[in-house]
Amino acid sequence: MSNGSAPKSKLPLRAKIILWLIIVSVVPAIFSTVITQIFINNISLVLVGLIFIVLVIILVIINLSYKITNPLLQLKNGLDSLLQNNFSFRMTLNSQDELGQIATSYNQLSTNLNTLIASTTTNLGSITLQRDFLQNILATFPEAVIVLNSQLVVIFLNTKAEQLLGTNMKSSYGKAIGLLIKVFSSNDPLLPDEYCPTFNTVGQPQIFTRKGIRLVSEKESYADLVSQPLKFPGGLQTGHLLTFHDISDEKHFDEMKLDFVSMAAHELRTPLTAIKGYLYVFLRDYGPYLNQEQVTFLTRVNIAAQKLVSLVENLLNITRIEKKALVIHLEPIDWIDDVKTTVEEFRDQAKDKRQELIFVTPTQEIPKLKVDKFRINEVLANLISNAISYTPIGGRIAVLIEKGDQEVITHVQDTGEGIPADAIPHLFNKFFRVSGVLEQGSKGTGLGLYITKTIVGMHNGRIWVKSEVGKGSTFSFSLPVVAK
Amino acid sequence: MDSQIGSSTSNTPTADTAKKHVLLIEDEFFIADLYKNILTNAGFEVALAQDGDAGLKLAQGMPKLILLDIMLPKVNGVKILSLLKSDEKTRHIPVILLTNLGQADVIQEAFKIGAQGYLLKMHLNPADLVKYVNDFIANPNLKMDVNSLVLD
Repeated sequence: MSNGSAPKSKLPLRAKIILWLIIVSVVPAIFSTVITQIFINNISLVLVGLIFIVLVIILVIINLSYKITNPLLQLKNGLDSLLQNNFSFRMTLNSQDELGQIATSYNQLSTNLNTLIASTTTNLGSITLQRDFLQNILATFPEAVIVLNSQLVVIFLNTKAEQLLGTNMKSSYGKAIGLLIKVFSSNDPLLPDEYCPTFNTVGQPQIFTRKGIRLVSEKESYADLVSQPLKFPGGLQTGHLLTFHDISDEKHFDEMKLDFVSMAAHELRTPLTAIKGYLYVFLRDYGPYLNQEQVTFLTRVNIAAQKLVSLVENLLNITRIEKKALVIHLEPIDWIDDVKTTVEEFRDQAKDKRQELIFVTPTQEIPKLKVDKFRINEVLANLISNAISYTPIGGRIAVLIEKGDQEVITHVQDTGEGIPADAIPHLFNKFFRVSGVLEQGSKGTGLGLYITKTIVGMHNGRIWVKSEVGKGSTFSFSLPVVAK
Repeated sequence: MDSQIGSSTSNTPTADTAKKHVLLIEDEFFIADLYKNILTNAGFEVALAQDGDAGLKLAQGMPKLILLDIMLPKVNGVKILSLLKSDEKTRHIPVILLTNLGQADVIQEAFKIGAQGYLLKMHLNPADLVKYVNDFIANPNLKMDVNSLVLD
């Protein structure tokens, strides 16, 4: 292109064309007419005029075509290069008419496009990076993460979730969660609707948490679950985010520990049977020939053996509770009679500590109860045994029965050391002991009251304590009266 | 064979001891000797077997009652029970499981096969053992309710 010498014109294109048309048509016409009239007889002059006119017309056309087609060609080339993502092409028109303005606009457009696309590419790059980064975090996240859509269909699983379920993203994607995994909470099946809460009426996410659930999919595993609803970008679509904390290993070790405790406790049963049995036989045969001190010593052996029996049973009860294998079998029972019998079993023990152990016969009529006789006697025995242990020599232990509203309440009252108020809320927790191991001597494993509470709970009863340090404690539990 | 028919320790064998013939299948010597002492003292004639084979052999002596441990050498208690119950000669003899293993599935299985009673040794008062043995001999069709048993 070399139109650098082209005249700069401020005239609009239309004016230029009109001007040129006037020049092209009017000037030659006047000219030829004048010439024709002067030299009418001279044909050659007419020819010269015609040639002149033709030449002028050709010049005009060349000029016009050059002025119009050159920018159009440039524009075409420019657009072509834009199409090829080449933003470096610039139109070079110096005229300040519309064509010049087109060139300027084109150049500006090209520059703007270039900037825009460059920045978009940068943004896209960082978005891709961010996405990859987040996916990496999720993939290496130590918790199993599953994302569901609003239809409870799996749309994402991270690596840990694949491991936990023994499946993979490919085969799980698009599957209903209920078909992919079965969830159990203490042996009761948990339905997807239950563990996938939604937003409440004011748009707050409702969160579902459950510890120690059992997952059955390609394999069986145990986990703590936290589930909450999700809003997807845009806010219209919702879904669910499930996070599982894998506790399968802990569960496995816990079971090994429980099995060991259970095995050890079972092993203790046989020697204990022998100790108790031979004491019985010995006292049967030689009791009449023993002096008071000898009887006392053997009674203490018997009390200790009985304590060991309770300890073994408590250990077994803990393993039963932990394995959810503690079952109760309810049968009608004469409660007064039963309590009296259990109290009598502790007669020797109380007498040995010179404690007064009394059963207060109720004045009210006590309705029939349906209980698991063996287990509920363990409750009573635990409470009486505690009372004797924590009450000093010469103290008093009273067992009372009272009729409440649709329930029968049994109290075990002692004049013992009492329980500090801050310890009471934790008293029925597993492994809780009021004072430190050293201060307590050997007065318990911290299991008895936990087991007691569990058994009372299985009877739909309640257990509570009132205590004052230095004055004594009253443990009470209720048992519901059976509807007639 | 460590087994023997023990009746010599009884100091006052009565005329009706044949009616009170009890077979005790128990491998733990301490426990076997203890129960034998308690039952003999109460007037029973006790045969003692210290393993499953001996127990099966002694069952042919037609005891009135069999007290059967579960964890036993050679042939375990459940197996012994099913052999006793499949033998026309011994199937009518009532069997009480006398054990320290109270595994629910094992006991329930044993009751299906034909055990009529279950006593957990550690919780068993010796006087109660005598009472149960008397009851079952007096009424050989007696059967404890397996659903109300306290099992492990």
